[in-house]
Amino acid sequence: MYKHTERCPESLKSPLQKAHVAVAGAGGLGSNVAVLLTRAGIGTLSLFDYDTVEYSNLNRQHYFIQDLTHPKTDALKRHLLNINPELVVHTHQVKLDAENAPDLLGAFDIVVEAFDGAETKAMLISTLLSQCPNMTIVSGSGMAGTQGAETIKTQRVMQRLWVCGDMTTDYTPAVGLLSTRVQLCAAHQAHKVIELISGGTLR
Amino acid sequence: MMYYRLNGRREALPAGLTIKTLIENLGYIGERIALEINGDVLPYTAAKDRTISHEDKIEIVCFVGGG
Repeated sequence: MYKHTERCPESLKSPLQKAHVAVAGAGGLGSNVAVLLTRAGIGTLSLFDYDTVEYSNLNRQHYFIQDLTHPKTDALKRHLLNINPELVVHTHQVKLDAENAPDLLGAFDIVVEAFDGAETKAMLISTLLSQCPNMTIVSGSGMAGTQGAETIKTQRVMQRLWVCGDMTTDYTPAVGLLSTRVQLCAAHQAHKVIELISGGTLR
Repeated sequence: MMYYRLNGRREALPAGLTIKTLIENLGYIGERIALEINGDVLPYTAAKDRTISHEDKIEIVCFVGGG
């Protein structure tokens, strides 16, 4: 019989299966983080996004032509269940803000921040870390442009905040967003989530 | 001499330095940062008028756009 976890490192099978992680934003970072965590064998994901799929998303986000105009949370859920039908996925088509975020996300130990705006990243992180004492956030900041892959890093910047990215390259239309660097950043975020789930540093 | 720690580095503390002035001096925009003072994360709007004290430990992350 098909077993999704056949190639999963033995020490991670049980912790991943028991884990429930929230992904805030289902764009370039969030959709790719969700795919990677699903492939790794995570048990449960909660996806939060208010938006629908557009053409301009397809250069870096895990969506397809047939997803256009569909809510990202619905489309992503379909793709994730096509990877692992045993995954439990909860979807919330909602715009997270400083008022609703503590209610919707307060129960999670691990939240992936995967927004695209600098102000909304800062709002979500400041709101959650100031009100949710048991939460750790894995954020992405600085993946626009064309710099070398080695500039994307994972850094612990606060007690309960990890930031993946180059930390400095701001998005502008001219700088652009490239599939490879967005994927690199998403992979850094997903890998840190797996490390946190495993309860230590992966060796 | 009075000092504080900014992202782990020891810095001289001018009398009366507020969070708002510090953020401006660093060239950051308040709405784009996350701020931790002595282990507590505080929204910028709640902390901007606070005067930094001797031996305060301050961590500031300034986010950039893209995702």
